[in-house]
Amino acid sequence: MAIPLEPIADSPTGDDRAIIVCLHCGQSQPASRKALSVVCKFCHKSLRLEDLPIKDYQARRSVETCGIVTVEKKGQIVADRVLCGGMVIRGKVKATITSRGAVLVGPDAEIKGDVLAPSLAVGAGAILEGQYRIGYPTPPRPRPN
Amino acid sequence: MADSSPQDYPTIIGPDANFKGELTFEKGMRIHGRMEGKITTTGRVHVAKEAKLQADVEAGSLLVEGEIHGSLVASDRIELKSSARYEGDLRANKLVVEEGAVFTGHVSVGPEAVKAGQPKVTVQVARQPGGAVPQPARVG
Repeated sequence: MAIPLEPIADSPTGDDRAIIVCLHCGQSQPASRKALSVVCKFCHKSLRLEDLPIKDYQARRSVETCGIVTVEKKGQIVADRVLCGGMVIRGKVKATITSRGAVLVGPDAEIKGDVLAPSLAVGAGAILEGQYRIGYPTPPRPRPN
Repeated sequence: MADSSPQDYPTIIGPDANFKGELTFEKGMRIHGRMEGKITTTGRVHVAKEAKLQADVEAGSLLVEGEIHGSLVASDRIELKSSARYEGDLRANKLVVEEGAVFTGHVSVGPEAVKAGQPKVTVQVARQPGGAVPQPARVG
């Protein structure tokens, strides 16, 4: 299952639940570890919690999950934006990436687009092009009025 | 790389040194102090943990553990260690970033990125009055 998996302290069912952080408003909240999606109780937006492996070409408007997006060697994402809890890239990505967790880039990966992430690890040989902002906490997006 | 021999880095800017200006060398340099200006080399540059640079650096390869503000260009590779703090534009053949490194700026990495940054030779032909044969001027 997805990232932030800290058990809730002093909770009788602490093992079954995990704290998740909303991709849209940045608020944290508990969710069942078995849940595949939840609705954020602060901004009421739907949140996908499962990990997302990309093994082939995928063109979408946006890719959003609180879990980890893994782009395999033969995988390719073409999207306006990727919002995720973490990312592992071994293939190609053409999108603006906003990750709440680490972005790991393999040596054969190719990224075209801006990247905003708390940490980045790049293997020698990767091809990157874009505006990068690494190591700063991801700011929550402003709520619409 | 931090345990490399003195032959690898014949030039060292010590921790109490404060350098302003342009620096050109061939082999390698390690910086522990502060530097402001420009560094040009085909060799290696090691920016140690305690170093602070406000400089544009063009080098063969770069190892960054300290703090840099400015543009970095490396014909081979740039390594940002976990303690690195970097703000500026980066262009290199290869980039290795350790988790924990903090940086902002435009990144251009890959063999094409370095080629694209090389100065192009253009030929400007100026039109002269009186129908004289224009002489091409080479601009590097």
